[in-house]
Amino acid sequence: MTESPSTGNPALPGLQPSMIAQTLRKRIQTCAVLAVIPAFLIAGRLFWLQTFSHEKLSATASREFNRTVSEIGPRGRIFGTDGELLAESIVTWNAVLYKNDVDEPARAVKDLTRVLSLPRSFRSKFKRGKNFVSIKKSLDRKICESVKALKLKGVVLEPVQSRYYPSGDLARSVIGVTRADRGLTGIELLYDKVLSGHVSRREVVRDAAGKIIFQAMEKEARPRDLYLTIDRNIQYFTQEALRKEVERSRADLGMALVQDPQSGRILAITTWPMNVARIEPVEWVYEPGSTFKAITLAAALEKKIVSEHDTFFCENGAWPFSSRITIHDHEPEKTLTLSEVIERSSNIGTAKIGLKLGVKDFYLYAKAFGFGAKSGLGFHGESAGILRRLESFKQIDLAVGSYGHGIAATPLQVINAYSAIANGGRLYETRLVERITEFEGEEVFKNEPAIIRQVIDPDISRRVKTILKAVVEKGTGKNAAIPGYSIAGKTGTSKKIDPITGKYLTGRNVASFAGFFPVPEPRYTILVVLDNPKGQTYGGETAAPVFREIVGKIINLKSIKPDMPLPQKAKSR
Amino acid sequence: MLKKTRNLRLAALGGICAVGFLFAWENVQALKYGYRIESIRREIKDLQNANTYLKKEIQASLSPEKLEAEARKLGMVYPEPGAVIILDGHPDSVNAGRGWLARLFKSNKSS
Repeated sequence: MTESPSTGNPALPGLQPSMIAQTLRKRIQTCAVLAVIPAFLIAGRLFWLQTFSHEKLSATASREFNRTVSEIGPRGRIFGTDGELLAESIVTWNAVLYKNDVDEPARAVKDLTRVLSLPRSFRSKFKRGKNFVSIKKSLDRKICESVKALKLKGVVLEPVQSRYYPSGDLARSVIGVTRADRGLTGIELLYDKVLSGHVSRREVVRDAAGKIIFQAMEKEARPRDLYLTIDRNIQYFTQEALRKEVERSRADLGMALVQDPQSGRILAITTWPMNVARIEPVEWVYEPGSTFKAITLAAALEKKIVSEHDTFFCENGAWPFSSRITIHDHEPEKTLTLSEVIERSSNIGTAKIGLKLGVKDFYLYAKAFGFGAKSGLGFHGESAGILRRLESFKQIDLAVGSYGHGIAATPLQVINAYSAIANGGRLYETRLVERITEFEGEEVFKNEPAIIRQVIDPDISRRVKTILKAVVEKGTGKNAAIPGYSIAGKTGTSKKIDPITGKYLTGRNVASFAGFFPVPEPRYTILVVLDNPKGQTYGGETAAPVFREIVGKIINLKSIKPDMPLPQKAKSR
Repeated sequence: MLKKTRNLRLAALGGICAVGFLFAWENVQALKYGYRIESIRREIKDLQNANTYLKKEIQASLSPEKLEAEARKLGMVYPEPGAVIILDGHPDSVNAGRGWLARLFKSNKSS
């Protein structure tokens, strides 16, 4: 008997191979179905999330990873007339510390104190702080790098825009100050809209660790650049000359201005001691004193009331004007010519000229020279000075007003009036801003010189200049003279008024000197005012030497040639 | 026939996988380049800051106050008025403004 060949699996006896294959297939199919079901479930869920929950989820994800970042860009730059940088914005860093993230607090405090030169109180500040501790603000790049090199966990350096003034305190009272990108005073405030940094918003995508993956960048928009009329070198010389005299004479306050009389541009404007909260030359008012005599003289010559041939009896130094008021000269004088009245600064002589001129013309010419009106620079707090109304002018007001008493003016008004005398009688609009340009680009605004009015005839201007030149050559302004150069000017000394009682204060003067050079075609008008100098208190003794020093520096700086023959003594030197 | 179908299925599966990998690779690359671009952008910003600081230092060094202090250290003094003799043609003479110092000043002004 032969055994039929077995076709079954020896391990599964009795089962046909076809049955085994079928079983296996079924099992595989079951496994496949079991494996596919979760995949289908996942796919279904994904489909659900992608379609029905898409909006909600993408909004959540967007909130999680995408941020709209607002950033204030750098503030506009301020330049001097020749393009010297006076103010710009730079990135500085504020160092802050998150205590909870610090690994070794003792080492962190020690290292930060050393690198940032922190005071000892920082240790207790660190101990008191809960989590956030502000370490130091406005760190420059070098110090920021030193802090980074410490590799301290929990120390964060936040970049911020800070205002930087490369020339230090130069012209700071007029440039002003900023806080949090807003101008607070001076030009920074007046031109805040032009200079303010642009706010940029951009989409930023971050990963889970907060690291930026992508950010939509637009071309950085920069604010416009502002060019002032200030000449950095003249400003510096003026500031230094004034500072030295204020310190020497222990004056309460000093102010000095330099102007281009042919255009009204302010080349230097300075105050000492420095006060960034106020622009004293446009806010501070004083009685111009004898510097005003040039205005009375110009008006009287223009109205042909006096001439160079007239003489004036100066009452031997004391003129009882009324039963209560006597006008005095500081030196007793007898009869003086018109030029001598101004040269020797006779109050009595000038009062007589003023009385001849009359109230109406005196008032109109004072107005025409810009007194009693704001200069138009636009600074907040700018004063118009005090010029009483025509109706309330009495004879005594006219008499004392003709030598600058009973009138209050800002230094800016006085220099504007002297520039008008210097340039042939044209009163210019005062200018402090020369032009505005796009950031390193084309000009968008140019402040052209503008004549407000022709105050006096050019020939009258020439005659007044001749008399003012004599003041410097042989009168009270000798201390302003520089051999070889034609300089014209007038000294001024007035008493200070007590703002509470309205009466003159004894022993408290305002000394000033206003002048210009070179006399034939003046290029620079300069005014120096010293409030309450001690010791020598006359304008010719304190303000005139400052004027001379400024003129001397400008002569060398601008290579101005002598326009007069040098005296023998000076020549031999 | 069966073999052909199986091959087609495998090819389709392979294709899907390849597309999936390509998609994933593309995303990874985008992420990578995102980080790289951001790092370069930061570097540019740092360099711009460094440049601003260098310009700031130049401007500060050229301020009249600093120049005067340096000149005084070298024993220089201001000339008296009249001590400087101004020659004809100065300052518009042929060589005016051609020196390296004048060029440095000009380049600073233009920057």
